[in-house]
Amino acid sequence: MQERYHRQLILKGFGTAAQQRLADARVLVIGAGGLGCPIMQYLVAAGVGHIGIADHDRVSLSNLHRQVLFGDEDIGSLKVEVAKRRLMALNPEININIWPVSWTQSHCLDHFPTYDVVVDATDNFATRYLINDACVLLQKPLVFGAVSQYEGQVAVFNHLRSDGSRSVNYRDLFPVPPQSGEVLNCAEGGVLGVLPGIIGSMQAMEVIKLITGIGEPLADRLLTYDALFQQFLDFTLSPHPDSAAMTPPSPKEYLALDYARACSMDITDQKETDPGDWRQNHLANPLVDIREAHEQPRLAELCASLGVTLVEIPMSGLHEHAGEFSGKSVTIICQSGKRSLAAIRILEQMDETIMARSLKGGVNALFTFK
Amino acid sequence: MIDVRFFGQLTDRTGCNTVSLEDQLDTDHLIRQLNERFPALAGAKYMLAVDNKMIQANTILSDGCRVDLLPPFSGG
Repeated sequence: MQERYHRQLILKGFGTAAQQRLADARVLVIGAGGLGCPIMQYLVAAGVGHIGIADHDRVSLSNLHRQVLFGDEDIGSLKVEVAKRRLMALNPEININIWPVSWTQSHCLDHFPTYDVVVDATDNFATRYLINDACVLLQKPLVFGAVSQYEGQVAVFNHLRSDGSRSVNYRDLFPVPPQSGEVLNCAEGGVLGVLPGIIGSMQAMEVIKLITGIGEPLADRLLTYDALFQQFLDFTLSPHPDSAAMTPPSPKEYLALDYARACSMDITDQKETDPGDWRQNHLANPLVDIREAHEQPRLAELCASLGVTLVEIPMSGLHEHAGEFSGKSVTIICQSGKRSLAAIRILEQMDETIMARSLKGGVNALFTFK
Repeated sequence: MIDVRFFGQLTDRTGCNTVSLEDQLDTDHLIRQLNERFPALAGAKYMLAVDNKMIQANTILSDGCRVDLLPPFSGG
């Protein structure tokens, strides 16, 4: 075959047959962000014949440190459109189909059957569960990757085993989605740009292995990576007894599920206060800053100027201090307003008499509020 | 001695990456001890692994076992 693929064609165990399988393959990448960029680049470069890309988002400046397919001049453009242009320049032999949409259950049912492999490169639990459940329903292999701060996870779900059964899926790891506020995403918790590059590259590798049949897929295993200590760990997975019951058994039941709701928490607006409301109504209550000591900016100056009592207790120490707030009204603040939502639940579980509110948008919103 | 490792943002709840505990009979016992020591850990969502194998039910621990608490990650 062509000179383009020469270096992989000469690999022992690869050859023209594997290259032809890549050329014939159809891979759907959902999410064109930090994970999606390296996945798409490597799959296109390797000669995967057809790639579908779904992402509703537009390129923003804060994407560029990790979403290496995009440049400064792309800010404001649809990610899928920029991605398609760059990928076509990289390898014009590839067919690329784009969806500038928020991926839904209907999209899964309509399009998964026409693809060989689905890749989860999304950034939120609602879409991750929605994709996982559809892959189980439609028996599609799913290459999963996720990152958090300095750590990542990779796995191949729903892979066809030699006995005809399917390998475990995301519901076997976590049968019930976490609630919003329980786990921070990249916007809230931060991420080092190279990390999704590493995890996304490993996802691309698993896709190529699944298509060509080389090696052994990362099925029934979870690979974790810790960038700070350059440590990989390999966990053996097994089916969870609750998994099947949590997965919708038919398209009808699948479509009836509200994934956005399942992944958001049962907290009413009354438990959140935005910066304007806080300044008007809640300055008399202590403001509890649950951020770690290193998180900036600190609030001492602002609180002193507003006459607010500031209490600094990192999230990990919240339980020890819950008693101090018994019977009181308090406002909880973190960097973005996510951890503070989780903190409210912790406090309420410990002591029903605590009236805790979360400052919506956290410190970030407080300092942009004029 | 049982070595316990916390991953991802669980370390925000515990304030540490690892902890070693003595006299642990099984994982249920261990989790109770961890929740007492790190109250913020109670209610957190994580997958449990003993010696790199995911477990779903209470599992007997022997001296030298390693227990890992792995939370879900959403970022991409």
